[in-house]
Amino acid sequence: MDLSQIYREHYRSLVRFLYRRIGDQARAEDLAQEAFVRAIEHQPARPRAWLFTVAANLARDEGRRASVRRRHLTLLKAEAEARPPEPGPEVALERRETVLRVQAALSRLAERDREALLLWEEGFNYDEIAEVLGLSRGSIGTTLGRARTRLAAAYEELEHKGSGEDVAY
Amino acid sequence: MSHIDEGSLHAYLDGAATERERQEIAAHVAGCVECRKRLDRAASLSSRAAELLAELEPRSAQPPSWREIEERASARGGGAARRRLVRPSIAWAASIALAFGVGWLSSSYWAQLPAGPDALSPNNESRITGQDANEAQLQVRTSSEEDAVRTSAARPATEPEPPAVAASRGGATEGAPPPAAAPLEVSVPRRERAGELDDARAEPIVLPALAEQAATDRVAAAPAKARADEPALEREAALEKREQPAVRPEQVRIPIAEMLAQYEEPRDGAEEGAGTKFFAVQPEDAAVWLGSQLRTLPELHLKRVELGPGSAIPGGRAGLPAVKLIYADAAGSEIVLIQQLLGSAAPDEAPELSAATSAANSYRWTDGRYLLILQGSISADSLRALADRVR
Repeated sequence: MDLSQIYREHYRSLVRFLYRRIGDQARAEDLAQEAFVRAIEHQPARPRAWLFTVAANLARDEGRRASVRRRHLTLLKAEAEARPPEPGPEVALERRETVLRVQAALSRLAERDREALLLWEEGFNYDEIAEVLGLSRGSIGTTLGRARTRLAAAYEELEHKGSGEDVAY
Repeated sequence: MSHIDEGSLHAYLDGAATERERQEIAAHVAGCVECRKRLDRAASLSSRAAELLAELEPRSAQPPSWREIEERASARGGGAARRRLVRPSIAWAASIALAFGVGWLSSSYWAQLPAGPDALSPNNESRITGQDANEAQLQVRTSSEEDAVRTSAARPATEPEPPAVAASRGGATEGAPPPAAAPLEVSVPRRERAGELDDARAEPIVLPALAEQAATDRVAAAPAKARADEPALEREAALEKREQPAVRPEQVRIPIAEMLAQYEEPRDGAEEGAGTKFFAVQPEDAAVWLGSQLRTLPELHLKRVELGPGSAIPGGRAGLPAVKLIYADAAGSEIVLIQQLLGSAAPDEAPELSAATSAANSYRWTDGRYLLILQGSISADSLRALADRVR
């Protein structure tokens, strides 16, 4: 399949996958473009699965730098608590907290579980998820079930505590 | 009677079960209250997970064109292809040729050194003094000679020799003065080098069109109008005192005064204001331009470093370069640390901390030699806390 067509059809999906994975849109876009550059160089036979595999690897590398950001998040938490709510933007503030909470909940998942869930949300079927993650097809249902259960539980716990926590991707 | 396992329930809900599995599960659930509850719960979890993930939707941004992606791949792939074309035998031959070249140059160098007591005769005294005084420079120059030889070999015969290379060679072989103009220049790696990096996180060096033109022209001497800028002259004087790095053939040399003069002149149609004239550079290059070690926020994730004119920053001094360090916090928001080395010309004022309210909070302070500005969409308290962490 023509890579330019893949680019048009799946670039945003790849950015979304990476954004959910690393929590930084600018970096997600950088990494998505890097994945396509590498696809041009390698001309993979199954470009969509290949692109998401490369993207997942790039995201893992990115995650190794997360400890620096985690340290900073403590400061951001204090800042979020100290920041006086401006008139009107309560909704925006609430949404931001929700986003941080989902990111924190997602970070509590095991890496494979998280990636399986994100791939499923990007429209990958069980065979494709198994190919990208190197798992057996029969284990994907279990993996997704575990990921969904833990994500929902982690979010509820964070919501109950009333704040997000350090994001460890 | 065994119940349906969790994975099979999710596969059933996801439509990933085979026809046979689907029939078996449907039949089992129809007669098993517990598994029906588990199936309902699995369906609830599935929709809840999708709902939560929908909260993590990136902002809609215009992606680069496919042509841009292809050009990036072409720039990098061309280099890779060239590397693949180099056969081992050719590489060995090149290595041997290089070894001979180095040997020949070394012998030329040692031949110019005084050989024993005779060298201390009055006729040779001035030359010896010069060599002693510039011992380190001679060693660097030898390296530059090798680079110049390699550059000449790689350059087509019709291409003129860059003045910087010519000056370097002349200074080493003909007893001409060392490249006195060199300290007035700053080496900036060419953009193509960044394209060869495999690291996806390496920010490409983006030189503005004016800088590219200056690099192409390789103007050895800065124009008089740029030299009239007093702060720029001070910066040049400061740079003269710095150790001059060896020039690699991949580098171009851009007169700093000319570069700064061009920065200070708004381009036609260019929007005035911060950010419009800044371009990405490597941190080490930014430090050279700044004339000092970069002040940093070591605990944050550095996304990129940008260089631009002092006139484009609030309260900045025109004629001196300013450096922006763009960091990212965990939420993806940018925190920018702007700095400018004011040098000895800076007013002797006490450290100042002030806040400005706009789209992003901003702190600006000076400590006599440095102007520092911290910007970010975070509260003033956080900015103050971050400012304390600037090292």
